[in-house]
Amino acid sequence: MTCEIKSEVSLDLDECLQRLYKGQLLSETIIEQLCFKLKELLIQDSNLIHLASPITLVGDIHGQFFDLLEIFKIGGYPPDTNYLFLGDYVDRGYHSIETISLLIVLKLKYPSRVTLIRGNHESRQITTNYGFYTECATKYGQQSKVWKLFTDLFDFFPLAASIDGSLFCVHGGLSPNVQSIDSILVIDRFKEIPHDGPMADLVWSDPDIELLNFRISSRGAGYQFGINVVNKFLHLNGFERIYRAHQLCNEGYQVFWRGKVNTVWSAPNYCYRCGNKASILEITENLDANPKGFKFNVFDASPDSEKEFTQIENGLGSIDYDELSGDYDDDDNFGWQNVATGAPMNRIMKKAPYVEYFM
Amino acid sequence: MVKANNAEKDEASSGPTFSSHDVINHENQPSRKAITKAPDGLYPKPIASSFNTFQIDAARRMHMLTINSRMPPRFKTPNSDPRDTKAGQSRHFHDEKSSESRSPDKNEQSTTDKDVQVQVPAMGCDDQNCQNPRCAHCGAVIIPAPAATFPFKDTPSISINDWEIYTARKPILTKEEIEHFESILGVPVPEMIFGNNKVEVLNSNKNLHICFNSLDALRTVSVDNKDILKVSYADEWFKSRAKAHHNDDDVLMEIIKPYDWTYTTHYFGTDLTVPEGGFVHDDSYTIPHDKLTKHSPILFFDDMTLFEDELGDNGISTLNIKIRVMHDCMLVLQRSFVRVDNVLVRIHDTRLYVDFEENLVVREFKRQQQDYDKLVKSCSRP
Repeated sequence: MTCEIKSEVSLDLDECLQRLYKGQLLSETIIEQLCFKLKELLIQDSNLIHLASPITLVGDIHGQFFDLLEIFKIGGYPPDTNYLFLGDYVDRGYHSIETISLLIVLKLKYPSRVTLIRGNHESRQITTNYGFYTECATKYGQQSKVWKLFTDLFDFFPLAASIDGSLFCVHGGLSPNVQSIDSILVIDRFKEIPHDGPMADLVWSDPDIELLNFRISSRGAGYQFGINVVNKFLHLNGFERIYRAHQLCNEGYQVFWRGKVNTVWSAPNYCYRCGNKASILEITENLDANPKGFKFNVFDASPDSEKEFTQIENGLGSIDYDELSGDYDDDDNFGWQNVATGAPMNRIMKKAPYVEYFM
Repeated sequence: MVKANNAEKDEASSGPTFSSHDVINHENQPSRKAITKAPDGLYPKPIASSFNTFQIDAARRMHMLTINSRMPPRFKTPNSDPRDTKAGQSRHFHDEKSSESRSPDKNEQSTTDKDVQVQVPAMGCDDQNCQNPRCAHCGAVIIPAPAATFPFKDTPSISINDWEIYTARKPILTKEEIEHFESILGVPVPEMIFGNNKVEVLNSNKNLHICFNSLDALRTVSVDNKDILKVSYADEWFKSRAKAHHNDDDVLMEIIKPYDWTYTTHYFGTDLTVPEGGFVHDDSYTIPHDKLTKHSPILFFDDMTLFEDELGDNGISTLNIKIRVMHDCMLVLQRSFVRVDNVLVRIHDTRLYVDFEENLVVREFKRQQQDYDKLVKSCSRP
């Protein structure tokens, strides 16, 4: 590993945060250092993180950076609120890099307040096809290695979390190979998400209300799981409920089997055109003591996301990152990009026709 | 640039198009759902095979035509004469149309804008929400209304002579609506399901009412085992799983209630009413490109998705629909695009062309499919 930490001064987390909250990008050098630091931290974590309430659960974000800021406005900024993010930070939305950079810096600054687990999009193969790779190449240039830095870091993300020992949190769902928590603990997670096996199932599988047991999906790979396996898993491991993300729902959350399995979805107006709501799950008390100590806080798209969406929808313009591809003059700017200073967050540049003479 | 399959015949192929002359006096017919009644084997599978030079050329010309037609008129190149491409295209398209029987009252409908009756909202619109205004400068219907974009409440519409056109764009379905859809369809709906979106073309004088919506589109999704694809790594996955779950009662290793999870649809719109006789099948007819490429102002434009699914990140399946309405004609393009990574790519196009001057309705289908590897090979540099 050729990561050179110049000095602690160059990695000023406060300054990083300040820039990221403004929607500016960090330089490749900084990202390299951040990823290195975070790997050092995450390598000590077990596959299953133990957390305690009060805590707020956040589902898929998918690069909708302005909606992530909205989440902080609604749920409170770290470190005032504890956060558990359930994966799928990148792809689809237009600001995957801003989103993952901000989450990385927050995790480094408040390691015990912010927890990031791995989703199926935190993988090399998936990000190649669904936007993150392209975004890295567009914003940092074809030669840059930020995509590699980020995806190498994803290998270190833990796979699941438990809250107060009674809530099991994971991105996708259960696996036939995971009867008990021990089977999660023994996974070698420091690798690309495989097609097969418990690690894949944890980030991929979906509940199906009509099912009792596991069933392979009609695609020919992957599982759907039913109530019996849920009951068995909860009972064997002493959990009360399962919280997961992974599936779009119009209402922002979905409750299966009277709350035994719950979906939290945190990307409002998904892909800037689904018109769906999003939610974060605020767990205020230990649910063992008070089963009603939680709340799905439902919200709509942030005005900034909405503006961006409206402009795309109206065909008035598209996002242009050209101004970000300036010089990377690390010496003069302590590692910051020249261009990052004062660039407007919503870069609506190209005029497109309102209508299209399609054939 | 993939192989077009010319061999298939569609149900609609049994019917004629019509001119106003044909249909103007017919009584209302009971509504007819062509798709739900479609007998088995109606949609022969496209043949996946390599494509020949002729087809590549035709596809290239079609692409050029599209590009040219998007350019403002002043940039139009001399090469863009649409007639050049006709010969090639007729082999690709399945057209229905009537014939040379043009309407006799043609003279009454002049091509000048003044004689065309444009009305916004459409004359049959009884919805108070139909408030999408027309642009003061160009006359085009403004969609979405700037102040009312989110959540979408637009129900724009326009009338040209006695034709009415309606579209609707709404958010994805709620949990209850999804359950309702699934109880009808018997299969899970796509991840993003815009079940309340629609495009409707209506002419009550001529007894024609065609609608495009996602529920009817999903009805054409196959539940036949032989149509069902597997993801590229399915065999490998299945083998290792079957071994692991040997004697495990918790895991069901067969696919129950199989359905085409790629949501490939053979949908060509719902014929709520069509004039007696229906459409006439005529492969020799093509949509008149000269009229569509002449850049008359667009009075009404909309572009929407009916459904979209990322196939569990194994590719993508979308059903998109676009509409543009000019003074003299209109065009609807419904495109189903399916990409199954490392397996195949499919494009199913349906075009609906209405000529207001000649009262001619043409519906055309084009199905294309190619193996993923072959396509990638043909796109990459030697």
